[in-house]
Formats: sequence, structure tokens, C-alpha cells
Amino acid sequence: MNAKLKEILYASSLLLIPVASFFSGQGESPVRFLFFPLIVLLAFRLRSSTLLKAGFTCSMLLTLMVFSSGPPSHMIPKIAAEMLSFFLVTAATGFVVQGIEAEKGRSSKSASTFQVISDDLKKKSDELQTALDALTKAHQQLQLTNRARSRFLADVSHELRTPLTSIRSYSEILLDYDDIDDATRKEFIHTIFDESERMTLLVSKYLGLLRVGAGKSEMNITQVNPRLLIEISMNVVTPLAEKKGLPLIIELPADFPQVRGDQSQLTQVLVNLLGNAVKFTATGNITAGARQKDGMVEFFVKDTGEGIFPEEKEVIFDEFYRISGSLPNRPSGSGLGLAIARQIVEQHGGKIGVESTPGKGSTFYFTIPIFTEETAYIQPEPLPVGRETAGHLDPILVQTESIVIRQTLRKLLESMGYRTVGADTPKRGMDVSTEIRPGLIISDVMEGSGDFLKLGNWARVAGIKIILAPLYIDPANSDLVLAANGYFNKPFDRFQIVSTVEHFVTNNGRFSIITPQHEEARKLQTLLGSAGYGADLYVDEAEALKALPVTSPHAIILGSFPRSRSEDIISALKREPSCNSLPLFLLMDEGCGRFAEVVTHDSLSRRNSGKGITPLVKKIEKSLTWHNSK
Amino acid sequence: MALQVLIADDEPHISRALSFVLEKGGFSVHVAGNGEEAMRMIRKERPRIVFLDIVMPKTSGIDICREVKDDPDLRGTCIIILTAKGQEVDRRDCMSAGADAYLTKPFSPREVLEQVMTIISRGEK
Repeated sequence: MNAKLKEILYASSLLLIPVASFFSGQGESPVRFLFFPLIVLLAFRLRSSTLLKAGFTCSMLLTLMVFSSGPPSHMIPKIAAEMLSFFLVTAATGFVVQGIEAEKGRSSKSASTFQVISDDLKKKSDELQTALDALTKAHQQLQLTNRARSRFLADVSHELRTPLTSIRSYSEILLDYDDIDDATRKEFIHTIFDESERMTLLVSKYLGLLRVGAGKSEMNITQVNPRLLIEISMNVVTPLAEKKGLPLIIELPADFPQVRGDQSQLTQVLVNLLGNAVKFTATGNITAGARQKDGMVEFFVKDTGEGIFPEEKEVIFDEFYRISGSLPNRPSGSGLGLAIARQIVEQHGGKIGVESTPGKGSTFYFTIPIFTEETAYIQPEPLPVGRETAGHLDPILVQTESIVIRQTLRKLLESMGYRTVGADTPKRGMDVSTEIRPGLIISDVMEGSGDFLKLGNWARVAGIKIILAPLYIDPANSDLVLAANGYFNKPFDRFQIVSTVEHFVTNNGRFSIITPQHEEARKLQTLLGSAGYGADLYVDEAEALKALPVTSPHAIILGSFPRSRSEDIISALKREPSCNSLPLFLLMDEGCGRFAEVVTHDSLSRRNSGKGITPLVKKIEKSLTWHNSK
Repeated sequence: MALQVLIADDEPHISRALSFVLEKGGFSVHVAGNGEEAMRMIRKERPRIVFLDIVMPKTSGIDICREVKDDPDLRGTCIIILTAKGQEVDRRDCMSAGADAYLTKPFSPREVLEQVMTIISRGEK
């Protein structure tokens, strides 16, 4: 508003110019020389279009004024010439200013474009730098791990070769020399025996390390008494600590909750931490204890040892990392202790960390969930993402005799966003299902009761998927497995339940793949899997026909059999009532199109299967849509 | 007089096996359990052949080997390095330290004896 007012003011001041010119025109006044700078000044002040309009208007007005008032006739040509020149100058200035402004606009525009491009480039280069830094760091990390790994392997090989040398040497001596007296002979045999014992221990130690390192250890979850845990662990390291004259102290409140975990694994964590504390402490003492923190139990092991530098805090938990591990006169070790501890703690749903002042000592701590009835069967892992949409799905029926297990399972499923219903007996389960039609049944029936088969068959007829949750499953009891679509074992862990339930509730569908070629089978399975489909593999039609009525797949994909075999399989499949209406895809070389069209639903070029998901899966999906719309 | 041999290894079982074989082969055998002891005995007993384990408490086998080879007084002492580390790096370390032979665990006592005989016959030529 203010700017507009200013413009009007400037425009009207323009009026003054011709007026002044008119009156000064009577004599040869110097004022008229001021006109041009004034015009230029105003032109810059005003927007060029306004200037043009104003200039033009002023000239016209003035001309009219001059002629209407009837000035002396000798004045007319002079005034007219002045008006004309004024108009021309104004207009010309206007154009120049317009040109300048346009140029200014263009250059500022190109400057801003340049700015944008250069900002963009800078961002890109920053991103590249970040990526490069990350890669370099990852590379260094890998190199470190690699170096640590080979050092570990060298250590293992050294440790193993020593007893092996003894065993080999003494047995060779016993074989080579006949004149060995009985006592020596006995001594040598003893040595062989002892050394093979030592080797067995070493092997099982390393295998144990590697198993835990690979995350393959099975957890046996129970309620564990923290005091007992600390005491057992302390007993293990007591001889070492006594040798170094380090007192071991327990710091634990009297009334303390039980934790939920695998006792032997938790002991291993504490033993590893206590072992390190003893190893790296020369004088002072070592304290182990626990306290409650944020609904968890936090164990700690405090030492007065050499401490850990801040930059070492993260890496010490890495596999094979040993502080100055390659230097002589350093405590020996595998470099796996803390890595294993971290893995165990994380598997328990806890966290591990360290606080330390170099030269003063370190405190390692880790958290473990408190044992309650509710957590009895469930691993407290973070909620998987993307579960918000599960609510609209059909409810899940949880049928178990035990109310604790039922409530635990329902609570878990509900925390994942599913709706659930409960039932105590299979009979009640069937009644409930008739009314609410669950999308999935999870059932816990005693093996051999016959109830499960009843429920399973009923569910199959009703088209409901069912998961078995038995205590143990006997693989020989194929009826039981066949009647269910899947099963999980107690103790239930969250991951197992989440992945199994998700598979049944949200998957797009299943395919049955019949192929004699292992590679082809895996490739198809991977392709379909990454597109959200399940895939069951069979090597021939006999196997497939046995399973097809149970798995009820979306479609069947027939792999690369010789043509006559393909024909046999297809006719066998067509004879089977449960699958003769299923879409059948034939994976084949190009050029056999006609054969495929006649006998199968559609053919897939084998060439397509190599190009990634899009061509093959898209083709299947398109084809199925067409099939279903028929 | 029987040839003097020193075995320096912190694994008593290995020293015992080696000394048994070498004694049977007619050598006079001394045993050292660590690097320092080994060095002391080398200077005192002047063994013709020294078996050195690389990984030993106090002084490592490589260091002793270097010290022996650098000492003009101890010229003529043959050094055979014993190690459980079969890596190329170790082999190079041994050779650069001047070792005469290198044996990787697990070794056969028979081979050790053969090795010793070769060294001695080489020395006699």
C-alpha cells in the first residue's frame, strides 16, 4: 500500500516537469537543464510502465492545456516541439530503464539459478563425501575385524596345534621305539590322554564361542534369581581373583525381583565381564551387583582396573577386538567375550554398555527384563514396524487350554495390532469361528487327542488357515503337520510368532513350484518371495499332489522338465480335483508357445526369470487377474 | 662326547617328547622353560643345536635367535625354530632372524631327528 502511494507521488511529481518547462519556456531559464536528470531519476524511481504512462499522460494533458488556453501563436511551434521532445525523452528513458530492469532481472535470475545449481552440487558433493566417509569407515572396520579375525584364527591354531603336537609326538615315539620301559610308556600314554582331553576342551570352547557368535544358540527361558546368577559367576572367577589378591564384592538389595532369561547364557555374560575385570585390574577390588532401572534389572560389574578410553567404548564390543591385543605381555583372550556378552544381552531384549575413567576403572552394565507372568513366554523385542494396518484384517482365534498362554498370545497379537478372540477347547473354538469367521486359528492341542485333527479338518473346510502351537511336534506324525498350515514351538518367542502370523495373515498368496532343478526352484522362490508371495517346492508331481490339497496355492508353476514329462505332470495335475482349476504356469524356453497355450494357463519364458522380479512376477500377476476375472 | 642340544619350549610335554627322541639319538639334551633361561643355558652349555619355541614367556624365540646369531662367541650354534604358527610371516621372521631351520607344529619327532642329522652333516662338510 505504502509503495503504491509512493509511486503515485512520484508520478504526480512528474507532472511538475512539463509545468515548469512551460513557465520557464518564456525565457532562457537554466531550470530546463534540470529536466533530464530529473526524468532519469524519476524513471529509476518508478516502474518503467508507470513512467511511460505518466509521461505520455502528462504530455497529452499539457498539449491540451496549451491549445485550449489559446497561447500566443508564436509560442505554438516551440511548445509543441518541447512537448514532443519531453514525450520522446520520457519514453526513451522508460525503455532504457525497462531494458536495464529486464537485464537486471535476467542476471539476478541466472544468478539465483546458478546459486540453486551450486547449492545442489554442494549438497550432492556433501552427500558423496558422507557416503565416502561411511564407506571408508566401514572398510576400515572390516579391515580391523578381518585382521582381528585372522589373529583369532592364528591364536586358535596355535592353541590347538600345541596339544596336537604332543599327541602326535608321543604316539609316534610309542610306535617307533620298542625299548621303552613300562613307566615311561605309561607316562607317554597318560600324556596323550591328557593332551587329547585338553584338545577336546579347546574344541568345545571354540565351537561354543562360534555358535554363540553366529547367534545360533537356543535360549532356555526361565525365571532366574539375580543373586544366584552373580554368586555362580563369581565362583567361576574366584580362583583367578584370589591369585591376584582382588576381593570380590556383591552389591544387591535384599528384596530383589527375578529376571527372565536363560540362566547359563546370563551366567556367561557375567563370567565374561567378571573375567575381564579380573584380567585388567592389578589392585583394588571388583564389585558385581544389580539394581532396578526403568522396569528392567540392570546388572553391573565394577572394577578398579586400567579403564577404557572413550574411543574404545564402542569397538570393545566388536567381535575379535582386543585392546592392544597384538602386543606382548597383554592379557590373552579370544576377543570374543564382550561380543558374545552383547549378543546374549540383546537376544534377551536388553542393552549392554560401559562407563569408564582411564586409569581409575570401568563399570560394565547390562539390562535384563524382570520376570512376570506376562513376560513368561514372550521376548520383549521392539514392535515390528508397519503393523498399524493389521486392525482391518479378520480376527485371530487363539484356542489354548491354558489361560496364561492364551492371554499371553492374545496380548502379543493385540500389541501387533491384530484383533483376537479366545477359546479354551477346540469345540468352543469351532463354535466361535462359525460366528466370527477368524482369518487365522492358532491352536494348542495335545498331540494324539484327535481334537486337533477335528479342528484342523473343520478349518480346512471353512477355508481358515491354522497354526499349531504344540509343546513338541513329532515329525513322524505327518497327519498333525499336514492338518496345520504351520506351527511354532514353546517357549514362544516374539520373532517366531510375528513372522509366522504375518505370513498367514498378510501374505499375498502361495505358489506351488514343481521343478527338478534346484537352482531354478530357488530362483523362483526368491523372486516370488521378494514380491510377497510364498512358494512351496516340489521335485515331482507325486510330491506336489500329496501336498496340494493342504497348501491350496494360488497357482502352480511347472519348471523345466523335458516336454514329455511336462505333459505327464500336467495331465496328472488336471486329474486331481483339488487343483484342476488352479492356474498353471509353464516355465519354458521361448518358441514352445503353442504347446503352452493349449495345455496350461500361461507360459513364462525362462529368459524372463533371470531379469529380476518385474518381468516374471508382473506377468504372473497380470495373468492371474485375467484368470480371476473370467 | 655326545653333541649338546638345548630345547627351549614352555610346553613341558613337547620338550619331554623331543628330549626323549634326541637322547635316543645319542645327544646330550638340556631343557629350558622360558627365553631367559634358554639364553643363560646357551651361554653356559654352548649347545651345538638349539630348539626354540617362538611363543615363550619373557623373551621370544625370535629374539633369542637374533641374539645368538649376532654374538660372534656363539658362532656355530644351529637354531631350529619350533612354532605352532604356520604362517608365512612367521617363516620369514625366522629366516630373517638367521634361523637354520623351521618346524611347524604338529611335527613328527622322526622328522626332527632327520633335520638334526642333516644340519650336523652339513656342518661337518
